[in-house]
Amino acid sequence: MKPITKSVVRKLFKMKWRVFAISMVVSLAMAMFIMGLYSAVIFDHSMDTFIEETNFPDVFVSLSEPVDYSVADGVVSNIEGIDTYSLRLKLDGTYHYDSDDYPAVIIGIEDPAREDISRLLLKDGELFNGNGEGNVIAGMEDIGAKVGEVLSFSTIGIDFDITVKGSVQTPEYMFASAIQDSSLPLPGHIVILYMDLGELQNITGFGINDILLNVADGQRDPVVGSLGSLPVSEIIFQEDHPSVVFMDIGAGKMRNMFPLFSVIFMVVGMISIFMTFYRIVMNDSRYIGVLMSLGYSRLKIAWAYMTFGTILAAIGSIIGMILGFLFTMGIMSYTMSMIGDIRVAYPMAPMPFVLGLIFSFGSVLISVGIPIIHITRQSVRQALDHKPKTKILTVGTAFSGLSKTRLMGIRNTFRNPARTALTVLVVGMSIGISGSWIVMADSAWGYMVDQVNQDTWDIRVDFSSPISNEDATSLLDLNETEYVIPFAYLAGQISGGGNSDSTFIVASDRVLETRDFELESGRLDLTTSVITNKLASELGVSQGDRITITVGAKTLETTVGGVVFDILMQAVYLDRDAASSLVDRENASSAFVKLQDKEDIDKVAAEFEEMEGVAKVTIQDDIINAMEETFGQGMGMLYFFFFICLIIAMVVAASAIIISTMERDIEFATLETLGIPRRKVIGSMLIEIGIIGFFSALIGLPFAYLFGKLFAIVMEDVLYYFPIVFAFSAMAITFAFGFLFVIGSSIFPIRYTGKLDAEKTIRERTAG
Amino acid sequence: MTLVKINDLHKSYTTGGEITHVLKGTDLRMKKGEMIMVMGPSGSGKTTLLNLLGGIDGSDSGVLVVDGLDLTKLGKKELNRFRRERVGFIFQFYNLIPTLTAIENVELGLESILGNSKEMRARSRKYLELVGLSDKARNYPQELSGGQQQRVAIARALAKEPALILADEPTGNIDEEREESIMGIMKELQHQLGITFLIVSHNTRLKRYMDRTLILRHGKLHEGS
Ligand SMILES: Nc1ncnc2c1ncn2[C@@H]1O[C@H](COP(=O)(O)OP(=O)(O)OP(=O)(O)O)[C@@H](O)[C@H]1O
Ligand SMILES: [Mg+2]
Repeated sequence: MKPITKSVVRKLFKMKWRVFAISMVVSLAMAMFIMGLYSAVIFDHSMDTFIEETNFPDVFVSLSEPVDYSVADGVVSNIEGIDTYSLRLKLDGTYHYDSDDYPAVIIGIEDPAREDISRLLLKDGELFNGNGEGNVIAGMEDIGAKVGEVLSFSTIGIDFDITVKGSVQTPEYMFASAIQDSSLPLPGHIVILYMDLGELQNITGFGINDILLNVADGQRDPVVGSLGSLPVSEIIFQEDHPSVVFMDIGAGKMRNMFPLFSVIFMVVGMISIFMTFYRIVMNDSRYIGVLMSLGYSRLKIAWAYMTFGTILAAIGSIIGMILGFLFTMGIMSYTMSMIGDIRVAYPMAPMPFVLGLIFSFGSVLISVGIPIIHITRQSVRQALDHKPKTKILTVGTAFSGLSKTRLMGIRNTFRNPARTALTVLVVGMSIGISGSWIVMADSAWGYMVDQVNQDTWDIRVDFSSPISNEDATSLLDLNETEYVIPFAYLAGQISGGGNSDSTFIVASDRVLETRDFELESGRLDLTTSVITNKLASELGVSQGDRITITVGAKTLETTVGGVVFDILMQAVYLDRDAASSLVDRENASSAFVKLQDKEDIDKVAAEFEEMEGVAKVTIQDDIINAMEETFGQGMGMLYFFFFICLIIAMVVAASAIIISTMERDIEFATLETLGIPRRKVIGSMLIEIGIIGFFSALIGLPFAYLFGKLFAIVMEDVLYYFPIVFAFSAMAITFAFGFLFVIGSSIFPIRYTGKLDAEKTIRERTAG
Repeated sequence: MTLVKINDLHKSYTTGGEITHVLKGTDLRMKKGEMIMVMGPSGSGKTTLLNLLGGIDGSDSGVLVVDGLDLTKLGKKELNRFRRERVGFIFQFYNLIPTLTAIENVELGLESILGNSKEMRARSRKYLELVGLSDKARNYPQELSGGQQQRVAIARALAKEPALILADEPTGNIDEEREESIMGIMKELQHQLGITFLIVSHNTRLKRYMDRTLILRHGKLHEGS
């Protein structure tokens, strides 16, 4: 090693743990950068792996009525181009649990261990083996659908029991757990049961009505064309299967969201890395001047400092890659559990790491290079004369009562206003990003509660079988009630705008009284239809468009009369006349009840529950509680980001403060020789850091709001639309935590000055 | 009455496995109110001796008592207090705080003894005036010449009116005329307040103000001529 390189590297080793702290700036920026890119890749890869691993079928064929196994087998086995196939009996049914009924899908299959088509991945327990055994899709444990239990089902009016031998996963019904976890789309619980085909055929007397096909490349259309002799009702190709569509959309959203984090953290990281290294080099200006006067070339000097930068970048990068991988693992397992508990598959994808390395080395070397160029372009004299810039603002002369150490703290903050401003900006930005999560959560939650609060009813009652409007009203009309509004509540399909989706249908003449409907467009015209904006956006329809509503075999063609704001529900509102082709106009399945006094809710609800013919009583507050629970699960990720960003803010602040303390070591040494009490010295530093913390936290607030808006745009795709609102509590939390974390970073410079050797420092600083 | 008592004092530095013995059994006894000059070749250990006396560096062995305090037995906090209350440093390279004005630099040393009092401010003004800098009171160090900075450093040490003043080349950057007036002030403080001075200098002109002059050579102090 040349003497000049040696001297620079030696300097590095003298900095010891401070090197580590400064490298942490590189590490954290890089880790967040890698996390953004890598998690998007993993997301895609995990989805693909899931589809491939399970040999998800190319074609799904539903028959309008069951046919004999041998008939179907005869047809399918003779079609050329089919690689593998599976014949199944798939029936809608009901699952009975704890005096409640839940919808169920019951699927009879020949061999649960088949791996070549629609493979079932065992999560827990074992696969079924006839004898009244079955497997359920994992995720419905809270309604008793778990290993070891005996579950009662009914289909086409026949009751039977099945012992659950194990829980499984398959892309066919991957959202069971997501639906249950995230009550957002509100379809509630559904149990999917796989059981022996023969057994189900014995119970029902049916053959098969569902065919899965894996076909050779390019053979799909001819294969589908050859199914003609079977009563085919629906054919779905893999890419149109709801699961695949969902995963594609989800993956797309994640692909957009995660790299956005990367970019933001890259900017923050670059600025703070630049600030750190620029100052380290500028602080050495005198020394560089000496080297220049000794005749060292610019290149040689630059090379020496580049070595210094490279070592720091290397330390930072190693930690950064490890942290990046850990962050990714955390965020992925979380995300995947949110959308269906899919196994996270880590692809060999070096790209995010390579880009991360380029980013960290690039930023460090540029940050070292620029000041070197700057200094070496000056004359030797100028370089030698350089002192850490001290453009002292004459602040504080007004407060003659202030102690000198405090005055030092204040003046140090404003010693180099541009530099302080930059520090405050970067730290503020990090605090802002962190606060944006709180702002976002606050706004999203607030908006959701607002939505629920638009309902005017207090209690909803569902009847066990339809009763007439009059009977419903007279049954529920108590002294405490203000109104009872019976309605028909149906689940069905809606199509329009070339799309189709499932929906709930609410039919009542008085439905407008049950909620403070807020129009997005059109009119509240129940004689045609009023749909929620969530449904309108899913379908891509607006006021005046034709829609078709199907409930079982009944259909209704109408136009969209109006669209109302409702982010939660996919629902269509009609009056009884308009809905008469779907449901008997006299029949009510449910009723909304409003009470005169909310105090009575629990009492009245209990009374309703005792009534004959009442299946279920829902208190409106319970919906909010359930939502709160769901939301709480999403908060985990939010807090993760909140604290990671705060830690970044702290590291950025710490590295800036460490360096400015190092620049002033001679001053701290002097204070020690003067015998200034330690607490006063600490006080002086705390004032400086406090001012920086205060202003950083302050400008963090508009940033929090700004980034909140930015993230909300992305979130609209991922979750739902919500307006970002100003909330005092979110601002207060952001300010308080931002301020505290910056203050927390003072531990580093305080330790540094505590260990300072005054004698050596003075000797060293006066050596030049 | 003895203010400084040094007996068989040893101090060595180890750098890269190589040991430099700087002080090798140094002896020194100073009466309260005495003014002594130490001379000696460069690198002989003059600054080291001052650092040991001022409690900013530790000795290897020997007796080191100042104002009745055994410095070798004091902890970090007590040494800090010792420096604050009993010692005034005048450094070879001034070491002023760049973010404090001339008067504030003087106040900095006083404040931790007298608190933020009227007396503190009056005394700071008085000493700055004594060194001839009352017109530069509101200037920051970077707006002062080398000699002016040195005078601020002198005022900062003297204003504390401590038991012992340790000065390292206090007149290195000061012209002869100023030197005379500053030495005059020191003599006055020596007689009126009984302050003890240990002054390191190469400047033979200062000899005439001294009660004694010692030479530091080969790690030991010798009586000079
Ligand atoms: N921290 C240290 N580490 C290693 N050696 C040191 C250290 N401090 C001082 N020395 C050595 O101790 C010896 C005495 O140094 P000192 O500064 O006391 O000399 P000095 O008499 O004040 O010289 P000058 O007249 O040039 O100021 C020198 O040889 C120096 O190299
Ligand atoms: Mg010296």
